[in-house]
Amino acid sequence: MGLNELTIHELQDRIREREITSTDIVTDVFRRIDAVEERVRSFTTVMRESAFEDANRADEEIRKGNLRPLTGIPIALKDLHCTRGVRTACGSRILHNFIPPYDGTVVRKLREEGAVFVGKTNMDEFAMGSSTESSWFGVTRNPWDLDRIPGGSSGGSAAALAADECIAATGSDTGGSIRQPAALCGVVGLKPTYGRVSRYGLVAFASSLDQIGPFTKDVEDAAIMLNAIAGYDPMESTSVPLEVPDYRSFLGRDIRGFTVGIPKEYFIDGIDPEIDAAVKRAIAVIEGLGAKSVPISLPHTEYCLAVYYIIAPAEASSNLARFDGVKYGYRSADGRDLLEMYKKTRSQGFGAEVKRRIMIGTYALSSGYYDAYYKKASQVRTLIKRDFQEAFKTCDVILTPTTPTPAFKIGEKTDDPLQMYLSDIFTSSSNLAGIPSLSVPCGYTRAGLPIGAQFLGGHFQEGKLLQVAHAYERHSGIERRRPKL
Amino acid sequence: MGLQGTKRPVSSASIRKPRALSHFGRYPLKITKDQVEYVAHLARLEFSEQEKERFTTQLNDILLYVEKLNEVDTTGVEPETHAIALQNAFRDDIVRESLPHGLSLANAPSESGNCFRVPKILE
Repeated sequence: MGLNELTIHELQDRIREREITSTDIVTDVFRRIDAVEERVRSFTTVMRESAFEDANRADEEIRKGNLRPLTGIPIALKDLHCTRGVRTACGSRILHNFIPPYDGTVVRKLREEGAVFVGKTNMDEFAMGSSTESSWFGVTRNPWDLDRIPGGSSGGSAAALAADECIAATGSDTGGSIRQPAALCGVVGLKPTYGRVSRYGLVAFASSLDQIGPFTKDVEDAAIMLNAIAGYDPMESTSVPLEVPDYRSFLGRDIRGFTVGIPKEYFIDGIDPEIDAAVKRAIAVIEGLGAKSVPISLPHTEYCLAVYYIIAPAEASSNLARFDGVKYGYRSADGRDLLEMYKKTRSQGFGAEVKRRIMIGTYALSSGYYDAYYKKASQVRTLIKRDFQEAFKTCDVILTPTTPTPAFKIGEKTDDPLQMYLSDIFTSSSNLAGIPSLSVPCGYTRAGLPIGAQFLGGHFQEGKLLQVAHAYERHSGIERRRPKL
Repeated sequence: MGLQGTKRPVSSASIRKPRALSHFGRYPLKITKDQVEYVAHLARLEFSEQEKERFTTQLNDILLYVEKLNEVDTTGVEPETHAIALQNAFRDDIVRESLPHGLSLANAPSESGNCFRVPKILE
């Protein structure tokens, strides 16, 4: 068994005992990348040389006895974190040559905690998608079945982790882009509360929804990663100046007496029966641990996707106005004057899905339509948030499926944007309400595809979320499988 | 539930694509090809004829789908812009280190002196 198959906390224990070095881990990680990357295609940039330098530095610190929580641990970064001196392309032609002159806050924090960066992972262009098929750099494949999508938009991070090409990874989640690929690739994915993690240096998609979070092999690792990246940042005015608890301290605590809400709107006709059954088994496990499950209602659930598909494109159309071929990135050589240069640069630089969303967003914000679309959606968003506020008066956490179906086939939904959007049906509500949520593996289909259960909590209740998910994970009775690659 | 309860165009019992009936004339078009051209100009994008046709159909589908929000009574409901309410985030007006010129221009497709160079703006 290679060291690349272990978790952060397992590796930390062995580093502490001086049984292994960071270089040993990084060596195994790149051996694995060399063996499987050609088939999985998780990465847009592999940082082999700097990873071994990072590992050398980490080993120096280990020798001195300076152990940080992530010292020597190989981590993959979604390719929308600005990384000083390393291309940040966001899955797009328009940024295919962009070399950031600074590190984003999350990158800086991970570095300070001792992490080793393995590479930048593939993603749907500008994080717009649910399958990692819209990247300018090509399609990433699901390690559990190479004919299927890994989910998206952070599909490269989820696939790299499931394939043991890294020990943990980062992602961003605007409508499900961490939790959905985590579920489809059989790993843990956490979207923190809006404002919990700084987005300084993250390429923006929809600013009122975007949040950064970790992909990990188990819940304990998710707590370790959140400890490392959470906190207020003066460079990010929507980050919240609230103290960060030690998320690891919630793990192992009893969940007896907890109330778990089961919203009927998330168990609907049309979800895959194997997913329905797996999540219901998860409910039984939680009950067996002394928690009580109660039926609840989130009456505005059916409007989440419609709200999401107005608000996210509207904000994106504004955020993506900055890509104009002037300051960085791709510029078309065809424009004879400035206006033509803008149009040709953007039309050649963006892919179809990004253009589609810019068009929806621009239309929804355009004169005469603002009230009918953006304002209306923002009002319904208030009602969605109130649904959760009501629910959390009576329950500690909410449990739902993460996705309505397991991973679908590559190409199955690329011609049908609306069908693709329905992949986010259970995940976009958390972003609209700003609450934290987490996907944890809860079984496999008969065909061997992973299934995820989603836990949702109140604002800044990540500790409680991790506590329940950790208790579930320990007692789920689900065997730990690895994809056959 | 979920996608149920909507009169059109989503089928009530399953997660399926809303039938795009707009281009068969059953429902009024939400957006016409002319409007697609206008919005494209606002967004500084340009499309081939074929792309315009496809976008008109797809945008109609999406706009028809989001119409379901009209079922919700939002009278007197404040719009939500950020999930976590924050006051204005002020900081002291202190000069801090910023990117030097060279680094700021390092990614420029074209530059001249200390400036970004662009095609002509005026005739």
